[in-house]
Amino acid sequence: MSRPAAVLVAGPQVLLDDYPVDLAWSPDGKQLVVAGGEGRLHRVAREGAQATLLGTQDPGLLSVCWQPGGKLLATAGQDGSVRLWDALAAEASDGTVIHRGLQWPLGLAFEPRGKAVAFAAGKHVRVVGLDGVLREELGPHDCALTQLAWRNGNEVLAAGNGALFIDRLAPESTITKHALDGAPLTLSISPDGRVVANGLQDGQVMFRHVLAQKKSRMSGYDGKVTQAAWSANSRYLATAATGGKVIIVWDFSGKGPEGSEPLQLQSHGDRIESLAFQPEGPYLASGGRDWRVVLWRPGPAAQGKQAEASLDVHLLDGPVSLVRWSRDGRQLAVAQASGRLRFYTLQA
Amino acid sequence: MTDVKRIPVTVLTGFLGAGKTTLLNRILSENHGKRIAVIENEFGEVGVDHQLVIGAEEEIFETSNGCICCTVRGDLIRVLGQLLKRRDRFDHVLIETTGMADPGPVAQTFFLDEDLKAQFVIDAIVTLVDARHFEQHLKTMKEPAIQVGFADVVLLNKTDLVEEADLVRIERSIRAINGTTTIHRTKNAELPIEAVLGIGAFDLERVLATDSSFLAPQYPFEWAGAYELAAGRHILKASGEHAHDHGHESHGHDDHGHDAHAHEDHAHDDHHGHSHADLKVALLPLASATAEALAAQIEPAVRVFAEVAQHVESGDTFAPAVHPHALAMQCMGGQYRIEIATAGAYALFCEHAPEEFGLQLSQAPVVQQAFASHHHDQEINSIGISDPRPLDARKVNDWLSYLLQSRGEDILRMKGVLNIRGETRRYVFHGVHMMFDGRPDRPWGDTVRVNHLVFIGRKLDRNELEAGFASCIA
Repeated sequence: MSRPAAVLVAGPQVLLDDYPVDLAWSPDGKQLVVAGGEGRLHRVAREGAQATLLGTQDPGLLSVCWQPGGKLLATAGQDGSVRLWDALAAEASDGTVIHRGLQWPLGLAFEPRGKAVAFAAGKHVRVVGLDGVLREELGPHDCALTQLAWRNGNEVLAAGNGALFIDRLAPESTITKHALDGAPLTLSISPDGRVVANGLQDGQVMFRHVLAQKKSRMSGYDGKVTQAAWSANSRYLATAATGGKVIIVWDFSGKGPEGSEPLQLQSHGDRIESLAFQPEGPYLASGGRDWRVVLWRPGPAAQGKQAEASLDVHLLDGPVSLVRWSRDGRQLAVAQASGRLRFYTLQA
Repeated sequence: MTDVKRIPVTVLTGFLGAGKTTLLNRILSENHGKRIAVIENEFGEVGVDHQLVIGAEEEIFETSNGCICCTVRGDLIRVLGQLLKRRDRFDHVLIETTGMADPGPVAQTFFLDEDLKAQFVIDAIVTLVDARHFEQHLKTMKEPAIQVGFADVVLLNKTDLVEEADLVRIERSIRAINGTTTIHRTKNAELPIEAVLGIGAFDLERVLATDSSFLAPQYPFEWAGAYELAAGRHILKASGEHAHDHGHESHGHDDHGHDAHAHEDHAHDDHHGHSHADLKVALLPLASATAEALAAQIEPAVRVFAEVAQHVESGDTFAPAVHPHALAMQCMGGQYRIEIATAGAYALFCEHAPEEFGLQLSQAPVVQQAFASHHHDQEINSIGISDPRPLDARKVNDWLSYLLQSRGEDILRMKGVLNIRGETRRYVFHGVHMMFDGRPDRPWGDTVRVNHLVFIGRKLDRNELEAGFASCIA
C-alpha cells in the first residue's frame, strides 16, 4: 500500500523554567503559550523559540486558551482564579482576574467567537464576559463538574461523575441531564457536533450521538481513559488509557464504531500522555512516557488490519507530556515534563 | 516509575464544629518548615489562611460492581495529580474531609489509584471528636463510629467544656470502637504538631513501632484509679441498679434484643439489666499516686485479675491482695469496707466503669485511666489476637484472602505482625477494607516471636476470627 511519506522535521527548542501543563497556539500559528504547573505563563515564538514570561499565577496553572481570532489569553489557576492576559504583551503582569473562587475552575474554554469564557466551578457552569461581568451561572448540577466544552455559541456541555449535562444559555437557560456510566476524565465533541465522547475512570469510553439520541459504551481499556482526540472530519476518535501502550481508534463511518473492531496503533512502549489530531488534515500525533513522539495517519488503508505502522518516530531525552498542532496543522508543539519545549514542522 | 520518596498525606476527619479548621490553622501557622498543601472538602465559617488551600467538592467514584471497597475519591485523584506537575514538591498533604465523610474511600484512593499510590502514602487518619457532642452523635448517627474506627489518632477536643468523668467515659467508648488508636485530649485543638504529622501509621516499618498499643483492647478491666489512702478503714459505695441503668441508657442501649445479642457474642458475666451481678475489682499497692505508677501496675493487675476472685458481700471488709474481689451488687447497691494497714498510694482496678454501678470511694482518685475491655456496645469494635504459635505461610495467606473477600466491607482497618514458621523475619501487614499491603520486615533477632493482629470493623466476631487464626497454626 503506497502512501505519501510524512515526517516531522525538528525545529527550534527552548527550556522553560516550569512544568508545562497546557499549551495553546495563536490563531496564526506564529506563537505558542505555555501554562506551567508552578504558575508561569510563557509565550514562545515559533521562529527561534524565543520565550517571554507573561506572568505568574501562584501556586500553579491548570489550563490556558487563546481567544479565537483574537489576542487575549484566558487561564485557570490553582488559586481558584480565572484571568485574562494580553497575549502579545512585552512585559510580565498579573493579568486581569475575572473570577475568583475556592474551587479550581475546570474546563476553561472560550466561546467559539471569543466573546466570553465558560468554566466549571464546583457544581456550577459560569459564563463570564471579557469585561469580567458574570453573564450566566447555570446550576447547581447534580454533581461536581470536571469537564466542559462549547458545542456552539449557545450550548455548553459539562460532565461530572455519573452525568453529562447539556446546558443551553439564555434566553432558554435550561439544563438537560444524561446518565454517564462512570466518572469522566475527558469530554470531546466531534467537530461536526454530532457525537460527544467521554473517557471514563474505569476503563471505558461512552459515546452519545446527540441527534440520534443513541448512546454506546466501549470497554476493555487498561486503566483510566485520559486521552481522546477527534479527527478533523469527525470520522475517527483516537483514545488512550493510563495502563496501555496502544492507541485505540474508533471509526464513526457507516454504522459507527458499535460492533466494529477499532484500529490499534502500536509503537509506544509506555503510557501515552497526549494525543492530537490536526485541526484540519488527517494526521495524528502522540507523545508518551517512553520519551517518544509518533506521527500517524489512521485511515481506510489500514481498515481490516489490527495494527498500523507509525509514519515517523522521534526519541527525545525524557518523557513527553503534551503534543499540540497549530491551527493550520503544519506545526507541532511538543512539551516535556522537564520544561523542554520543541517545535516540529510536518512534511507530507 | 523511578523510586521516589512518597509524599505523606494526613486525612482529617470529624464533624463540623469539632475543630478541624482550628487544627488546620494551627498546623499551618506553626513554624515547622514544611511545605504543606491543603485540600478542603468542607468550607467552614472560619477560613483557612494559607496559600496552598484547594477547595474540592467531594466526588465519590463508585465502580460498576457496587463494592464499597472499590470506591475512590475522584477529586483527590485530580487535584493531587495536578500538584505532582511541579518540580518543587510538597512535603506533606492535608486532606480535610466533610463532617459526614467516610474515610474509607479517601484511604482506598491511595491504594487503588496507581498514579497516586506511586507518589503518595497515607501518613495517618486523624479524627477530631467534639467532647461535648460525641456521645449524642454516636447514638444517633453511624459516621462518628466509622470515623473513629478508621482513626490512627483521635483528638478528643474541647475537653475544657466537659467534666473529667465525661472524658473518661468518652475515651472508653472510643477505645471500645478502636483499640489501637492514640487518643490526645486537647483544648482548641492545641497539641504539638508531631502528634499529628509524621505518624507513619500506614508505613509498614512503623506499624510495628506501636506493638504495645495493638493490644490495648485486651484488658480485663475498664477503669483504674490511683488513690492516696490513709491507714484505717475506707468505704467503697455502690448505688447499684439505678445508676447502672442510667449508665446503660447513656450507651444508647434501649433495645433488649440487641442486648441479648451482645451477650451471645461475648460470653461474660452479664451486667446489663440484672441486679445481682458481681463487680470484679483489684486493689493493689502503688509506688505513688501518679499516672506513671498506675501504668506500671497495669500488667501486674492483668495477672491479678486472672486469679480466682474472693467474694465480697455488702458490709464485708476486704484489703489489698494479689487476687481480685468480686463485689456482690444488690438492687440498691452496697457498701464495702476497705482495710488499709499501711498509708500510701493504692490502685483500684474495676472490671466495669465505676459509674455503671455508681461506685465511689470515700475520696476521689488522684489520677484515673479508662481501658477498652473485651466487651462493647458499639456496632464497630476492634478485636486483637495475640498468640506466640508459629503460623503456616500458605494457610495465613488463604485465611486473610478469604477474610478480605468475605468480610472486606465490614473490616475498616486491620494490621498485624506475624510469626511465620521457618521465616527469620517478621511479616507485617495492614489493610483498609479489601486493600492489603504486607511484606517480611526486619529479623526477629532476640525478640520474642509473637503474632499480634488487630481488626477494626463492623460486627466482628471474635470466635470467627480466633477460629480462622487457629486454622493457620503450623
